[in-house]
Amino acid sequence: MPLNLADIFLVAVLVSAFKLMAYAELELGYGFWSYVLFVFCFIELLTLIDENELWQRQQPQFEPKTLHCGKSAKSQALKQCNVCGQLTSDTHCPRCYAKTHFRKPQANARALAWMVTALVLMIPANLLPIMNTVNLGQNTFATIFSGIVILWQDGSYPVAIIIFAASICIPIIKALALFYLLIETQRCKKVEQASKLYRWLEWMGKWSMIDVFVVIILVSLVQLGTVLTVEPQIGIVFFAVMVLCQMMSVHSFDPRILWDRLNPHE
Amino acid sequence: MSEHAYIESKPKFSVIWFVPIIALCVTIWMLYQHQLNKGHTVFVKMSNADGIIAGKTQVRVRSVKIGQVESLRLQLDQNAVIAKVQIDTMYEPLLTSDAKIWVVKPRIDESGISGMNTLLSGVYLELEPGTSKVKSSLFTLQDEPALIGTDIEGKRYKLKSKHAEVLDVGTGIYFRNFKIGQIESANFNIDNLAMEYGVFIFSPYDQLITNNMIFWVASGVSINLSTEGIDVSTGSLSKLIKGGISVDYPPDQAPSEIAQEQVSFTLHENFSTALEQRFDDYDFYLIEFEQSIRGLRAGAPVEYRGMRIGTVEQAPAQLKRNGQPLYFQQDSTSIPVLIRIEYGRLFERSAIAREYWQQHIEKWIRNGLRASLKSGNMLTGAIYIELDFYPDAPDARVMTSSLYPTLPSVSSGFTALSEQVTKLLNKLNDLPVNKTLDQLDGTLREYRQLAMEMNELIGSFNQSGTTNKVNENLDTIKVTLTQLTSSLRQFEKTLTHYQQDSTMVEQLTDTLEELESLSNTLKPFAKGLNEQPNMIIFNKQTPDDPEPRKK
Repeated sequence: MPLNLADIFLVAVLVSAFKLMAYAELELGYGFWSYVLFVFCFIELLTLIDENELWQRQQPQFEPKTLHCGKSAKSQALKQCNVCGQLTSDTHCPRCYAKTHFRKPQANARALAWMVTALVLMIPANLLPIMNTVNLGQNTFATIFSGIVILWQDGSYPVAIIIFAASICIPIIKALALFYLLIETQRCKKVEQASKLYRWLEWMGKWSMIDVFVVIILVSLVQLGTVLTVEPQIGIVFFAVMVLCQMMSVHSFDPRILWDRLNPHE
Repeated sequence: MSEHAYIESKPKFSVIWFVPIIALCVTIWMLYQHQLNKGHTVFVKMSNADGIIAGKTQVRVRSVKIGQVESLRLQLDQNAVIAKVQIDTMYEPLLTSDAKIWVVKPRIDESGISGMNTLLSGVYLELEPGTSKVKSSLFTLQDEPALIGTDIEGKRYKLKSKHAEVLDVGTGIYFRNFKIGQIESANFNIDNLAMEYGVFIFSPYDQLITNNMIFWVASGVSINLSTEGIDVSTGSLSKLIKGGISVDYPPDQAPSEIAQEQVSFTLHENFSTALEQRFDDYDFYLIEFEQSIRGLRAGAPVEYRGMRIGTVEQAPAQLKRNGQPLYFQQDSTSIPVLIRIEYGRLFERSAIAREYWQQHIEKWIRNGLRASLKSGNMLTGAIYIELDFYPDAPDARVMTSSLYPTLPSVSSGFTALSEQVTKLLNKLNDLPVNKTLDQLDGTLREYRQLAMEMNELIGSFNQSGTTNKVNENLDTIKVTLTQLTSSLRQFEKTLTHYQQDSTMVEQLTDTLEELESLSNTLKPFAKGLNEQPNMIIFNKQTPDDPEPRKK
């Protein structure tokens, strides 16, 4: 799971810029545009890298035995290494020596546990202030929602929508989607759709981090003493931990379980 | 094709479930903490919410934020604004019922400019916690900031004033031109129509405040007009601008015991009235005058041979019995005047003076102690009451039949003066001027006769020249000399009338002296008449002595 947050950071910089415009005039330097360029190049680079090929180059894939098409690896007593993708029936991967499992261990339980944790943390993350703007000795505490409201009132509708989607909608949708997936592992009705949903969830996970980055950028950038100072508040910690829990939850889930029920007698 | 045997233990309760449990615990704890910190709701009532912004305006104690105004609500029926304020829970003990709360905004006063930082940041509410144990959740916003913080040590006293001008809160209290305190509150008491000031004396100067202290309004400037010229003295600049209250020990008195907190003092108009009115140990006496008391005012001095011993309380005295004026019930033509005999004026320790006075007053009156009205100032027509001994006065005693003991009086002043003038004229009438002149005339006539006889004698000497004639003439001379001798004796007798010690000369001298004193007494009156010719027709309006006052 490559956790590439460079693009998220770019969006966070833009959102922070919008927020700062209420207090100061901002001018974007060359560094910003080079960073934009870097992000695009970096994302392109990541898509070009084939992990399997790298492992192949490192050490050719060990062929265990003849494989039967149309049958799941599990039914052929083969386990895929989570690290390098080597198929093996041993307890440890012969190529990278990682411990091997048929499926991610306790996948459903862990996914559920992480998601429940995330749901619990969602309450303080949304209720407690995430940051405090000290403007001439005047404290203004902002929660996630009040930040969105302020942006909306200032007329920054696109930014407000992005933050609303990233910080409020996505965590809720993710939670609902994961519960749906967990049910789907038991029902096995729309497996393909569920698989697509899972891939979407994995991609989606990091976007909720926008607000965390916004706070990080503002806190590090706006330190002008009593005139204008931004302080992080406990809410952002809960929020960040919640996002991480959701990502852990999605990561713990094993989509292969979705397919196991399709033909259990094989 | 052998397959491996997999032994999969049934997954027990997974360790992973500790994660949500921990998260739940942390969340609950954080939310509880947050709710706890969110605070205590109190309400602040204010007449208007000028500059106060809901959700922004802070409540501070010593510039440390303890809460924030959550919302503002207009209360139509009370014409007030109610602000809902969230106070942090940890600061809840500060919300005592005697806490003061006011708006901090830019202010300019004599102490300088304050609250400038609020120009940019907006106003905030400053709360000053009190010392009360009782908690309150409704406060009223004060207009002015509290002047004295609760942490400043000192004592609070009360000052009551019926006469003095209104002084502002914050006016300093000076002990010999050194500021030792200030006015903390000023209220007008409707019940007794007096200003009531709350004053605060800073520690350690509260040790100075004793029970015999006198307080008076010190104006900034004092002008003293004397024979040596005009003497203008001013206090400090702030005193000059705002005035102040001076406090001091009475002259010639040692400090008594230190005053307790909240003791009430009287605030006097100026130093002289302060000195006069500090004699709080006194008795009322009534004096009935059978003459006009015009010019006698309340506050006029009562003196014994020039020494002040009391004050006129009421002139005329409004005596009532059973709701009716007392003098309507009596068959009296006299005018009652109520006076105070202030024992403190007799002696520093008034209890001793009181005892002495009360033991001796009967005896003094038997010996002729009488009250009379004396003109204190011919120019203003102000008169005072003088006690003196009149040994020839008719017998009297202290009468206690009225509401107050009554001292006997004798007529004086203009009444006495007119009596004296009448007496003087009578004396003038009685003088034996005619008789003296007749005698003088007779003597002169005798001298003329004598001279003629001498002429005749000399003539006869010239004509005859004989001894007989001489003898005859000598006889005549003898007779003449005898006559001369008798004439001279008579002349001598006449002259003795005019001698230094004679009763007539004495009477004349007395008369002249009386005339002179009369003219002296009338001189200021004539001067006044000169200045204000309508004085006789109109009432002499005498303005009070000019007193420097604060604008």
